[in-house]
Amino acid sequence: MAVALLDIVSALGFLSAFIIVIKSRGAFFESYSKAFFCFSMGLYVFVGFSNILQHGNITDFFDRFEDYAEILFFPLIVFALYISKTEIEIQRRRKAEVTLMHSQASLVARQDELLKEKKFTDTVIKTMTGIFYVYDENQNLIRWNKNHETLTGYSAEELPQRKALDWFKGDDKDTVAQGLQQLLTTGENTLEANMIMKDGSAVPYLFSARRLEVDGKDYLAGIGLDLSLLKKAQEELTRLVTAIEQADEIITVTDVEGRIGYVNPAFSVVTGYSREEALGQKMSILKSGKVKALVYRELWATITRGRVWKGHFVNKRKDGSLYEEDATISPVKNDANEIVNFVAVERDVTGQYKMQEQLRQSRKMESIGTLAGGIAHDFNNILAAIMGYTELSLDDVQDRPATHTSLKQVLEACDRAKELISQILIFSRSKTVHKTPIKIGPIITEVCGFLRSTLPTTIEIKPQINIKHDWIMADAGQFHQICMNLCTNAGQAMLKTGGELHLTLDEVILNENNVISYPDLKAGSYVQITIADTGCGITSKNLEHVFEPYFTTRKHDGGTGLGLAVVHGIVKDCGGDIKVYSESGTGTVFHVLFPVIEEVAETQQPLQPEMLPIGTESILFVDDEEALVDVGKKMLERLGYTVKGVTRADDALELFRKGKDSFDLVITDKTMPHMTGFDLGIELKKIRQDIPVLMCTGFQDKDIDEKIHETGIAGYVLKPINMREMAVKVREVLDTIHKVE
Amino acid sequence: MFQESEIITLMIGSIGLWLMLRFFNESDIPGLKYLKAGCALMVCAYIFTLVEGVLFLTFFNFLEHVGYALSGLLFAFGFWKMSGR
Repeated sequence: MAVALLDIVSALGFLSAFIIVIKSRGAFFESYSKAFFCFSMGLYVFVGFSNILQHGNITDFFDRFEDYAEILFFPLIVFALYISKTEIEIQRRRKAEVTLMHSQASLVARQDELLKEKKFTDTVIKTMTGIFYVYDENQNLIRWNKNHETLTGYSAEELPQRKALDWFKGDDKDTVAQGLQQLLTTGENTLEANMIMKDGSAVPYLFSARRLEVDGKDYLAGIGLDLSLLKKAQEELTRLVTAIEQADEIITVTDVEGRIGYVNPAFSVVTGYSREEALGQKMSILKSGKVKALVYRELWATITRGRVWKGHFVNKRKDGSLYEEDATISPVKNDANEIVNFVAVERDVTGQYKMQEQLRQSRKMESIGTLAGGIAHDFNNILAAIMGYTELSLDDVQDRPATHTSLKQVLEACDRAKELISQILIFSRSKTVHKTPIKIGPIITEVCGFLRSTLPTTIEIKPQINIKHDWIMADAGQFHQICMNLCTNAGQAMLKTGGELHLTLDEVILNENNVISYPDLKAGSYVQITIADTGCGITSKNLEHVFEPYFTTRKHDGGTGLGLAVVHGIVKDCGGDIKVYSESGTGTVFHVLFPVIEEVAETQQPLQPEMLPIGTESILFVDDEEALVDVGKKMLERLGYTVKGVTRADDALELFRKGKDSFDLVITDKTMPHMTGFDLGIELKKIRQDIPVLMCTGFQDKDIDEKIHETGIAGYVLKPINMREMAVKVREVLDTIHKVE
Repeated sequence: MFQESEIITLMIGSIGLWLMLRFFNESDIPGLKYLKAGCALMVCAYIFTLVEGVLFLTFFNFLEHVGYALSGLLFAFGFWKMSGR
């Protein structure tokens, strides 16, 4: 029974196999193999069913068939497998062939692609700006672009012969050698070096290279960029920046809002703000309040419209002090013509303005002086007549004391008027005084002594003489007057409150740096007399006018306003300068500078005689003013001389021609119509060479001494002359002539 | 004792089995191992056919039929694998 079941299972198994083979498709069941499989399975299906039937005892036929089936089975199976395998192999081969074909096609396509890529790469390398290079591990150049040939000058045949280091010389060669070493270590490097071209020129290049490994071998590939233009641009930029940084002018760059983005060092020097403090701030940090708001509005409107603005500012430094500047502010535009920045170029003109103010003041003083001098001349003539007649009248009223006293008062008044005129002439520098070398230290000491006796004890006097060489060229009396005027003013300022009066004598060297403070002076050695007090000071409003004539704040005390004007005139006349600094409530300082001269031996001044010298000589007196002729004639006759007076120069000339030997002296006015005193003197000399001529003048020219020397005039006296001066001078001239004879 | 056909069958079967084992790989034909197992069982059945003539007839006959049954099933399975299912 079990066997029967097994036979059934066997039969069904082979039947299933048979059906599966029949239904199957694919590579293993192609026509022949399928047939053989089916046949072999079919055989054993038959065998299996025959075994089942044999159990039912059917026939001998199935038994014999089973033998043949068993014999055929294995060959059929093997053969079918062989066919399947062959079939599979064929199919695989075909597949492989197709795959190969596809691979070949894709290979060809890939090759095409690679060729295109190569072509593209070659084109890129060829047309690359700069030079492209590939060196092998022996530093042989194996790949390069066209530029390498063009720029270096070497041909395609010459290039491979050049090693990597052959392109450099000197320090650059060492630098590149080190760079190559670094390249081997780190794999990449960038450096700058001068590359030597075929023509010998050295061109700055930037090299960037990397180490490559291909098929186990090392290569060096990189590019070089010509830095010539960049270097040139950098040099120009550096030059520009250096120029801006070193410029004396302030250069400021702001954004469109007016915020500071850049300032050069001059900004810090002038304003006191450091660069760090200024950056980010608006330019309004420099506003002083002295410039009207309208100016700033106009400025902003101009530059925001794209135009340049030029103008003047009074700005405030960080420490609060003011300075003046001329400014030019320009808009900076980009390529799209939009304003992106503003640049301001400013020049500190504080010093320049001060100098201009000083010059203006100096010219003003000169104008006033010229006017004053002219007035003084005419006034002198009038005074001469008054004084002359008063002197004559004094002699006539010796027996009338009351009248004598009155006339003496008149004469004293005339003396004061004369002194006033003299001061005006000094201030106007119209009066030439005889300057001699003087040592000023002793004069200052003398002044201090005099001041001590006149100023109250609440005023402490502190002289300080710090130099030994204190020789200057000046008139001793005028220098004394300078010290007295300045010290008197100082004393007046401290009269109520007391204080200190410092008189200091120092040496000052003016050089190119500090001489600018004294525009009228040259560089050199000067003595500086400083007179400083701790009085009430001078307000800034009055400070501008202190040296102006008739300017005084003490009119109620009898101040004439000429003291400082006279001081100014004397100092200028001596080639010096004077400056005043004052703060209201603190005090005032005067600095007076005189040029130093070589030390000279002190000389004895001659003593003036006390008695009126007289004489008996014959004198011709010429003056266009009849009154002056009359006064002069009477004065001289009182002195014993024989005088002939005329009012016209040509009359005098005629008179002299007729009796040239009858006159011992001719006294003539300088300024006369038709003929001046100098011309008359020349004409007289032509007639008689040795006739002495004495000039009378009320207005003293600066060059009067020179003219007198040229024309042979014996001397001059200043109007208004008094009898004593006339007597002394006349006698002096006559005695000189007699000595010569 | 032994029948000539059974000896020839066994010889052919053995040669066939050797050829299958020697020249055909699983990598070439999927499911081949089941066919090989089936063929091996068939050869075993041939052997049992011969042996049953000498010893333990019933037992070896039974084994012979077991061999055929199992080989049938293995062939079915093997072809099913070959067909790619």
